[in-house]
Amino acid sequence: MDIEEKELAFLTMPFGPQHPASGHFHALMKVEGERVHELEPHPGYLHRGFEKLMEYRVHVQNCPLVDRICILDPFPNELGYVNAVEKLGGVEVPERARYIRIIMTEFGRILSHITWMGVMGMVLGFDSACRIAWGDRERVIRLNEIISGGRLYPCYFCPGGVRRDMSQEFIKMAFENLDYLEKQLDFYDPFFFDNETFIMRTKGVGKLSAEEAIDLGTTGPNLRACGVDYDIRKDEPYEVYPKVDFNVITREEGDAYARGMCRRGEIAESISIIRQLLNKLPDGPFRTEIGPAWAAPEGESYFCVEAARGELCFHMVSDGSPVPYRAKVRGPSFSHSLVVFPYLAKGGTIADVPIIYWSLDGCPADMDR
Amino acid sequence: MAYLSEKFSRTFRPLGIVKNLFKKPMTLKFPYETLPPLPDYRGRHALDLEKCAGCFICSMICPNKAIWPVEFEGRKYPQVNLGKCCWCQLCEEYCPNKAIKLTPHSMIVTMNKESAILGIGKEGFIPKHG
Amino acid sequence: MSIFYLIVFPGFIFFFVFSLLCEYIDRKLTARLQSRVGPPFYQPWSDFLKLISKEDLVPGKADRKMFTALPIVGVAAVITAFICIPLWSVKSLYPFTGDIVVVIYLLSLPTLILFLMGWHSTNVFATVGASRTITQLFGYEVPFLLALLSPALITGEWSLSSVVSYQVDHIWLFCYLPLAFIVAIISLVGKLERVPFDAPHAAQEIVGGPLAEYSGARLALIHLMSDMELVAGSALIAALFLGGFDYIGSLSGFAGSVLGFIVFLAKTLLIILILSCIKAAFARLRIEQMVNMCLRWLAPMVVIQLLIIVGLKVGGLL
Repeated sequence: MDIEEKELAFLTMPFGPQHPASGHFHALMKVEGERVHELEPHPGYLHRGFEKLMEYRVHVQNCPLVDRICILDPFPNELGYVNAVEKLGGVEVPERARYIRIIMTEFGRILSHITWMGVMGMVLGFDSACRIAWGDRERVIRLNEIISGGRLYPCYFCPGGVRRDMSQEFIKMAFENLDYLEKQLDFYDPFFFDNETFIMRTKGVGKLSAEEAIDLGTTGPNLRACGVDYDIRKDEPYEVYPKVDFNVITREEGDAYARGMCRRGEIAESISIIRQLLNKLPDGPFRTEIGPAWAAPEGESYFCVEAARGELCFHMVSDGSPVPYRAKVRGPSFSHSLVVFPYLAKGGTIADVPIIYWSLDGCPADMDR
Repeated sequence: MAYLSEKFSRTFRPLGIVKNLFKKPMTLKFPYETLPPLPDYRGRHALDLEKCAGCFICSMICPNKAIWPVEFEGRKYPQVNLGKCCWCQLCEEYCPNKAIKLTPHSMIVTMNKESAILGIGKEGFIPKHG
Repeated sequence: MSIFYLIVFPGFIFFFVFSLLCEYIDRKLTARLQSRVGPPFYQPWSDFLKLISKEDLVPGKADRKMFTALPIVGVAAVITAFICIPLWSVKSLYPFTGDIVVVIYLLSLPTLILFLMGWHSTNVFATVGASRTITQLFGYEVPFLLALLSPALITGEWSLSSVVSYQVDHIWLFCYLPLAFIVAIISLVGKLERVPFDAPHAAQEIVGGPLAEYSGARLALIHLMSDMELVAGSALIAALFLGGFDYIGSLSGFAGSVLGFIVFLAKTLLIILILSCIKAAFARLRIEQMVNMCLRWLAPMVVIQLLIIVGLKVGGLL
């Protein structure tokens, strides 16, 4: 047996799929004492074959399927798919439906960032932040339930509009919950974001410079935390984003703390966007019926959406039949978890590995599809 | 000096969580107290036998192929396999007579895989065995 | 009579029941601080019974005798430490000069036992956890020892009975020794491995640390050892700084002893409340940050306190 003498000094520790801190992401770490020498990711634990499954279903039947690609943030998936199909077929969407879609997408962004706060707290050992944040998540999930009947998988958008109308009861409850969430941000500021132990654990951890970030394919709040001002909602706007007024949050340092503060700023911006849209909501129809046997003409379309995690894109190819010929999804967590995370984890300590992973906010479901 | 006072406030302000002791808790004692389900919630299916025309559009549109025909009193009716259902409500949306509906009943727990298939009785769907 | 003291009254059975009750109070208070309802009062007992009834596995390459002996030695050490603390009168059950040092030594045995548990488990996570436990010992042990010995400096004798009788005659010692009181509580958080100093058995990074391979009755005994350590450590600080069984006013005879005992338990619960509030408000520190913080902030604080006491004694004010 030929064993290299140097290899014996390293312990191989799994940051495994059955682990309290890693979601369902599998990686092997080579560890010496507390230093990590190398981290090797093994994707594929959550591969369910979405892109192939979508080739056997009609466009209307694909809507419940697309929801389940990223579990923590369902609305941008639906938005990207529905817009790509409409672009292929030239379907007209009424104005009220466009407003409703963006309102729900921004609620989904708030939901995802609150979930991030909870999971970050859990990984830091900060149990209280986890429990209180996940209790606040209930407010947004209740709104999902009122408008669409499903809590985590709303299946609400469809090609041509939205499936149900937005009632007055929803609008009243939305304003109440927005006020509650703004007050809760005032609670989280001294308790979570300005907590001495949180700052000690995350400042200087996982530093990424702007050139490295662009080279490695980072998108979303991770990129904006390195100082690069790129947000698809401002640079290539879609739906009703040209009609709302909001800021893009950037920070300079590029470490885990900066990424956290970017996300906190985005929650505040989303609350202001939703308020502007709810005040200007137009009346009218909410759906144009296209029927289950609708076939898109031959062609291709590519549509990008700013999800809570980064840039989510759909590439649909059609050959004139009711089922798509090829559907390709570009998940934002693919480059974050497989390229950026091993690059940043090298040379750190074991205690930093979960912090770096969750500050990049990689969703394993998004990566494996 | 400013550095010390900032560190001091960052260490002691989180202890203000003690205020939570005087507010109502966010959670409920589950089996004894529950949140009321909303009327639009997508739960178990219900079939109106008078209105059903036996067209099986619901079976064709179901993405997971969870609805299959079954024989009852001389006619064919749809039968739902709750184990495969993804609760998307497409069957209710495309039924021409509005015969199949999703009710808010959502506590569906069983130890027996057989009873996940909703069989047909006089009032519409009934579960097979307990 | 001494068999009764050892097994029933402040010995095994009473201490077992009281420590599980304190675990319930700790969990319920933490839950209420996080706006949750929290577990019912019988939760720690049901956890204990559930763990005893589960299957107990020992890994193939591990040493079976050490695996079984370590939790038992841990529980025995902590019970012995509790019996040496004076509970309802100036003298404890078995008083002798130098029993402060014995109690401190017995309370640092559980740390060594956790290290041995991790080492004998032959598991990657357990090895890393065991090395973190010993690293943490370097951080908190020196401030803890010095902070608990400063009451002994004031009274001039190294025994718990002399400290408690000094507090009965004069004032409760946390008024003279505020810095030592604070340092003792923070070092106790490190000894008990609670948040913010629970890097050794950090569940989210190294799945359980030294406890990763334990299951069944042995794990039940390890959890019991942690709970008992919580009560014994808090009782030690209550006896040395908050006056033990002393209360304002006085009753004599049997009723006086019972009231003193209840007051002592109340003071122990007060310290457990402070520990729970600290647990709810902070995150976990990395192991090198913890040792850094202890040696940079806690050790100088307690040395300053000792110098103040020596200065006051030489000046004749104490």
